[in-house]
Amino acid sequence: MTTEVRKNPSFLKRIFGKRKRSVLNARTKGEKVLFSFTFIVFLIQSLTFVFVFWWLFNNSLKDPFEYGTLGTSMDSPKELLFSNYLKAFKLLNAGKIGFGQMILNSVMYTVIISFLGSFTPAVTGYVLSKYRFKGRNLIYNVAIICMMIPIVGAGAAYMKTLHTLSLYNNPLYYVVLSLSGFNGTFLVYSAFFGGLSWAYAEAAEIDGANPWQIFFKIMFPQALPVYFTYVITCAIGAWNEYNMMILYMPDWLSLAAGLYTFRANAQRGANYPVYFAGLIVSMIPTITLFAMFSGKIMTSLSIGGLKG
Amino acid sequence: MSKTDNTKNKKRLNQKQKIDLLFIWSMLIIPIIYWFIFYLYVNLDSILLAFRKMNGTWTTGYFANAWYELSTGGTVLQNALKNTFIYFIKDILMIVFHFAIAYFLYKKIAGYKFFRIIFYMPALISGVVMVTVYSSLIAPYGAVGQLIELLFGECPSFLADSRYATKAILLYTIWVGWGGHMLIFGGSLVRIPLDLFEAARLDGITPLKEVIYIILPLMWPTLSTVFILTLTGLFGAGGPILLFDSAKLDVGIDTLGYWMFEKIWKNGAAAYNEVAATGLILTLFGAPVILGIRWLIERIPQVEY
Repeated sequence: MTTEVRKNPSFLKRIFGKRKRSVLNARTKGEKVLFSFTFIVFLIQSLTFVFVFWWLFNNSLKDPFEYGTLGTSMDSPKELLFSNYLKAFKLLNAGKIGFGQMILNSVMYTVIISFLGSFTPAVTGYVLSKYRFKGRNLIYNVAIICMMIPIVGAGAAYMKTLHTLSLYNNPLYYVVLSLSGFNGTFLVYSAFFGGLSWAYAEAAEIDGANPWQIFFKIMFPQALPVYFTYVITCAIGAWNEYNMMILYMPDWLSLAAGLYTFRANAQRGANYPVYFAGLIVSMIPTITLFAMFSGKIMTSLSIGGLKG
Repeated sequence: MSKTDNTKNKKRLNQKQKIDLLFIWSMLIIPIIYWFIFYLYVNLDSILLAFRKMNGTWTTGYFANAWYELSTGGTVLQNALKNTFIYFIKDILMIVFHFAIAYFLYKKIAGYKFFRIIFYMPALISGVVMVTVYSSLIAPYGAVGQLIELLFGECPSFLADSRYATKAILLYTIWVGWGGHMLIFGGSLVRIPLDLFEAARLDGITPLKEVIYIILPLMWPTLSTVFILTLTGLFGAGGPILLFDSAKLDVGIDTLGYWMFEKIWKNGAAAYNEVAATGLILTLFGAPVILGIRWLIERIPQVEY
């Protein structure tokens, strides 16, 4: 018996690989014109994003005087000051919080929110889809109804509650925030576990496994692809989070929130090239994550057929 | 089976049920407590905050004041309401636009893999980065600003002028929003059986009819879900106003979400009642309308495939 080993295509091959002929790319004459026009529009739009990276990188290498007063932001730097990237660690700060501390804060928030925050809905989704018990339907329906009701202005009461529970400006808040098990992700897990066969669990039950062992050793491992997709997308969102940080965690500002604060506090003559260098550093983790898992992200997330 | 065996089995079953129940509630207890505190208690407290003073006495003053602010022309809050509706309409229109983009990518337009990644980029990069570059580019001294000056003789300071500020932010949200719903719509399109297209093409269907009679009905569950989610977020519609408002120029760019955020951020507990009362009025008006439209949308029959 031979085993066929399928290699994952490289990142670049996935992007620029050849298209197979299929009904999806067989075009009529009219379609060819439309697709050509759309291609040009897409290309122009894409170039604007590429331009953003170039502009940022170009200006991150300049001298602050050169950026602020000489020529335009489109000119190439007279001297490539890669030292700006080192300076970012020394000069960028949001009050008492330095650049290094911002990075650590971002890492802490991202790790907790992505790993724990993606796990809690898996637990609720599993229990509600695989067990029949008194109160199950009530919990499920209440969770769905709460997602439908558009409530506005609860932010004040939320802030008050955080103060009451001493979670305001306390990193423990990240853990508490991750314990929300009845959000949209819960529905996806619920559908996933609902479609999983109970046969393995039954076999394990006969062998004497308890429900915790069945969940952690048999059922949850099968949901790992879904879990890791959520971990990656959550991590990207958490890394870029700034609103929540500014409002609830003023002494634990993340990189995005800290860079915003630096810019908001910046007076005339601030070292913008160093700030741009800081912005580029802030993009590295998310771009790297995406480059590593782009195929997974692009193909795994779909809410087709979901009726809230 | 003997009576003793039956009793043993019953005992084992009872023990299994007990362990199962222990498992169920041990797994659910924390998310349920979370829900009680951060959903039920917070929302009930928000209603109370709209009517209760700090010293515990009751008043309708906050509610009346919020009503006045929302219904009187020219107030900051009414301007925020107007801006929010503008962003909301844009969000609804963008669903159609996102569908079109997803359609072209699904139909494997040349370079579709590259475009799919590039359009997703703004989701990867912090808004702080994108807003910084955009603001610099459209400033009078920026690359776009210089181009406008070259073409029209002068370039206004878009983000510092109340006539253009909201429009400039709206344009930003459209620019970075090309990848919105791309994954969701893409995922839904991929699920359509290709045989349908092949059969329809053999029957001589035109591309437009293919969209109207095959793609749209089959995508309806996804499209309606996205529409309902957008509708539910009506009062939260907006752009990254905080990032554009770093200079605090007071150029009328507030949205409801940002107005509430800024009130709580800057004024703390002193603003709780005002924010809660405003939120309550909006919920009382908005929720029935949104739930009604949602109910109507769900009446549209869905195609099973």
